Amino acid sequence: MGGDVVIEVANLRKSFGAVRAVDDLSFSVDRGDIVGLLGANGAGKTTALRLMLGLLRPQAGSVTILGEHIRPSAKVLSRVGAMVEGPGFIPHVSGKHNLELYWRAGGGRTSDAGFDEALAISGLGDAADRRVKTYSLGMKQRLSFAQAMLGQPELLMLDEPVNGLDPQQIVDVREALLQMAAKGITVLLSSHLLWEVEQTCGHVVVIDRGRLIRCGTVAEVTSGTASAYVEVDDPHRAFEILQKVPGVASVASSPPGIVVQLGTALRSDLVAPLVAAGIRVETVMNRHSLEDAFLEMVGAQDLPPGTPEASAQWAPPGTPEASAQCAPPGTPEASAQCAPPASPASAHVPNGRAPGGSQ
Amino acid sequence: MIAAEFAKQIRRWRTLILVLLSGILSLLVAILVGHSAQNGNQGAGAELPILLRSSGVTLGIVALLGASHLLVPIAFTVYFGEPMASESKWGTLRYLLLRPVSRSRVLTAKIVVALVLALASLLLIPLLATVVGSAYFGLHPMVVTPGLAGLGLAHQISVTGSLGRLAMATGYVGINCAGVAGVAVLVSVATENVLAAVASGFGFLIVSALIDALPGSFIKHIQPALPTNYLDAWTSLFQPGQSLQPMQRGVIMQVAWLAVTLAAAYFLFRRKDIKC
Repeated sequence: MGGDVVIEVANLRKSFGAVRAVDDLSFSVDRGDIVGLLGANGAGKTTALRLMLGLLRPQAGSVTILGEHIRPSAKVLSRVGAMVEGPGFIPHVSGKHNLELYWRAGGGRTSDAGFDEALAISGLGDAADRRVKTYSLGMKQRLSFAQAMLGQPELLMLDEPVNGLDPQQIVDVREALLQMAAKGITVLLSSHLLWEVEQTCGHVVVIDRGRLIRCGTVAEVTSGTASAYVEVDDPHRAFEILQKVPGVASVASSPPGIVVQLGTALRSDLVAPLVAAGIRVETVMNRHSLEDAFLEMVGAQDLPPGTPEASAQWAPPGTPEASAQCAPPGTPEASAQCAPPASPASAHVPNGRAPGGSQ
Repeated sequence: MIAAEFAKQIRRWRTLILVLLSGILSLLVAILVGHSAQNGNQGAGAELPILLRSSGVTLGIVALLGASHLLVPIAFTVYFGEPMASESKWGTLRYLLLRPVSRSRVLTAKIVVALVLALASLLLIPLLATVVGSAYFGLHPMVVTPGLAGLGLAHQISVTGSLGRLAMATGYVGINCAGVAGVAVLVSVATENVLAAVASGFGFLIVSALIDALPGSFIKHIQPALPTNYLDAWTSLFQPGQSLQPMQRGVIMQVAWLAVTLAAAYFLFRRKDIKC
């Protein structure tokens, strides 16, 4: 692993009063990966990011980025672009001037910043010359994304980067991240939007109450829970055929379609036998398997009852098996699942996409 | 970094308003006092036994005296206490500290820019008033008349001498706000709250002035350490024969207040968790 490790978090701990926000957190991220840092609200994602960026001082443990130990104002931060807990701009200054001030305040040379490229990514156009106080949340978010891009960083650490963006902008950000990963830029993406993470990230790190629950590729994390929804012109025949596909765990009717628990099979494995049998395949959809896996891992008890997130994003309450899979950090089970630093658990996935991710 | 900080602060409404207030107050005092002094041999009170119409410089001195108790401390408190707290309020502090620049440098840049703006506001007061005063009375040797306040012989201070003393007095008024400025910086770093930072600086000044005005033998031991104790000591510059020792004590006391509060602010800022 050695030179390919971009982020190495080791036994990180941080408490605020009696609340332990990050608890013995360890994981590593390889160069060129897009890694999703997942957790419910209050799970410790933002605190972990702040610790990794030197904004908070850990009570125990360490963070190494690009080979340099992180402390406040560490030199290596010049190679890191970040969005932390929403945009932050000077309201009475234009978006463009905000970027310039941010860059100059950090001692960067103007010629190294790449303002035009960053502003092009933001897609703000002429609005970049307007005062930031006239911006919508989405515009501020895009400007914040542009700010993180300044100086062509080797590592991006993004906290909820698609908050406030419309669907097209979300797609644009996703495409930009995938292009960056293809160029060897590493991305650590904190989000509670599981479907977004699933489409963008190759690996995930799942935390709950500050503790690492699991990390690995999306396929590893979702193994056993991945499912697909299939719509065909002849559901009865398709049902029988799909039951016989090697690796499929189970098949259930879900009118007008069929839900297939994939087991070790891939979604692409379902299509060929159906087509060969002369069945017209209308739809093959991902069934938010990461969401299912996440709920199994952390359960839904973290969510306040009645919140929109509880019903819309996290859906049904956690299953009884939820705690069974999540071994406490530091136990042999935990280290087997959750890559401690200096273990090769964070293998590179081409283009940062998980094999099981939706297409 | 200082240039970037200066660019941030110079375009702000609060900067413009404070500069305008300083200018307006200066002009107002100069015009009102100058107009009334045109028709008689008026002095500037027991603290400043100067003949107002003897020179335009006198109006600069009067304006400085008028502003030194309220406007100047307010300006210093705002300039020093507000920038760091504002960065927290805007959410820009965390991004500023994501850059590979030491926190001490960040704080130093803010203090330097605050100092420049505060001094600019301060300088405007005697400068504009002296210009107006020169229009009224011209620039002549200034007449100091202890006789206006009691008995004594009149003295003259040359134009150069009176301008030099006014410059020294202005510098002293600025130094006299050092303690307040230090408290504002410290609270700004500690609380990340604009109102708390500004109010604490000014509150500190009010409490100091209140204690300074109280009688009592025990309090008399405390009063020399208060930042307001030597507030008007600079007027002795315009009273020949008066000791300048109170001014020296005032400078030492302000430097001590500034050193303690800034040391605490740097210590805190370098170690604090950035949560905003």
